[in-house]
Amino acid sequence: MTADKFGKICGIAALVLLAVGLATGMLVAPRERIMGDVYRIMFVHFPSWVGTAAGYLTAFVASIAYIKTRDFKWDYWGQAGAEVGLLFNVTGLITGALWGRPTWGVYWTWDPRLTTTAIMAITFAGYLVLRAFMEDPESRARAASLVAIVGFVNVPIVYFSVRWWRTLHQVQSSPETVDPQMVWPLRAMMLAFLLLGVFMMTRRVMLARLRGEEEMEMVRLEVARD
Amino acid sequence: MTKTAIVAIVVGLAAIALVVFAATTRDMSNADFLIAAYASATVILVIYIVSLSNRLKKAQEARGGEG
Amino acid sequence: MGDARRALALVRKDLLTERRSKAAFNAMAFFAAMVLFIFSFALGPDAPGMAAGSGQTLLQYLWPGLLWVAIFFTGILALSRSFQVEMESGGMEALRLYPGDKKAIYAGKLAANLIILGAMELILIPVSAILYNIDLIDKLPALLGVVALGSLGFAAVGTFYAALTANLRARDVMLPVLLFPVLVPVIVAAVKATTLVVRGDLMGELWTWIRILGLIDLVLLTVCTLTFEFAIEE
Repeated sequence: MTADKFGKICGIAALVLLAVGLATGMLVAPRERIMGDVYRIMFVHFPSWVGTAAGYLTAFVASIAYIKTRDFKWDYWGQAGAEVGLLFNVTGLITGALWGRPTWGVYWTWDPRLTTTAIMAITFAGYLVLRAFMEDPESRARAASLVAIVGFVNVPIVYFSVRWWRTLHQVQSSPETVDPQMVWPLRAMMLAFLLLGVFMMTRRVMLARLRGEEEMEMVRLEVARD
Repeated sequence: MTKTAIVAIVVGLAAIALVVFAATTRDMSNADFLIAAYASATVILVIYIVSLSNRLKKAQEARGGEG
Repeated sequence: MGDARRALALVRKDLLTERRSKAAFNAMAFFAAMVLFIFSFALGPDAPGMAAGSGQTLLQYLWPGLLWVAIFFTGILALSRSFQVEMESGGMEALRLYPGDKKAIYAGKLAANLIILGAMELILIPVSAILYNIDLIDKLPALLGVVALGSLGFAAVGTFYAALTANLRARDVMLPVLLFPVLVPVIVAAVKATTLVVRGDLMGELWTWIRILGLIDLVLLTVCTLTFEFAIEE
């Protein structure tokens, strides 16, 4: 149960950092000169991508480990990583759209980064749908791992292809001037989301392990009955 | 409801309250977008954590009941 | 050498089955014709193009994109068919027992799918050009090169995912759901290159896009070749 304890510590640390980061971000950090106060969405938007990256990276590494070792432990981590990554991916997309509208005038644009994150969300949503459709634990773990590996490798390819495709038309516009007084709340929130992601993944792995053991017992019972 | 779920809901509500408080008392520009972004992200994360910890508790109880 | 022969045997087998039954090809040809008709009804055969399209209809202006949408949607049929056939007749077991490197199976299936896809494209391109009044004759060599590269990328990933989803009940849903996100780079590069071929390459970008497309093909092909053996495991 070390993972349980580790997750708990991460969760508590995340809570503290969230409180500090959010309070300083909302009350201490100064107003941005060009964008006004709406830039404060950054304190939840950038951290979302930290969580997304942590989740998908976990899913990718765990999937490779599963294919190599065939240990179900890695399948549980892969599932947890994909689910938590997708969760943060969705919050990243929503907060990004709500930030884009007042600053760029549109909720959505086909900028390489936006397009890539949307494709990532579709890829890993497909991963979870695939899992839901498969019953045999071994072939499900194997197929899902492959989907995660190919999907993850594809992410940079999507990014560069869209970048080459779009830069011929429009210059990427993205406000990234960050005042030193805004940096600390942002760092706190990024770390908080990372820890929150770890916390959620450990819980998800625990749940997946319980479900997996249950499934294995069912399979064994069926075999015994035959 | 698990302890984790209750903590998540309380913290989530506090976070939204803080953002609303800051946005309204300090007369922030585009406060509606700011509040909407924080509220939607918070709601999504809280719902996930609540559902996850409840499912986990149920699964643990089912296992514990057998053994 | 042995693996190449094994792959070739697989290609011959797949094409023979296809020639005898014509199941996939007939369905694809019919579906492709339907797609072309739907485009002309949806976009209006006489509607004028918006930008850079003096004297062009909307269909002529959009043709490069429409062509690739038609190829991808029609190609999905061939892909899902290619492993479904094996599932129905217990051929999957035989494939798994096939001696030698599993990469030979991938190469064979990929080649067979490419040939069927190519045959469909050889009908789709001229028919759509005639239906939409597009003059392609002098652009044909470049166009065929681009189409070949785009189809290679499509078939490379498609064959892999078709094998992966072959024993799913919901494979007809899952194959496009998993396949299309991965194909985004291919369709971006293929449509861009096709557009440059058809509309003329004023800034000399065509060669760049062909190289990008080739690079994307190479990466996807490598990843799928390396992971294919796990995709057809029991």
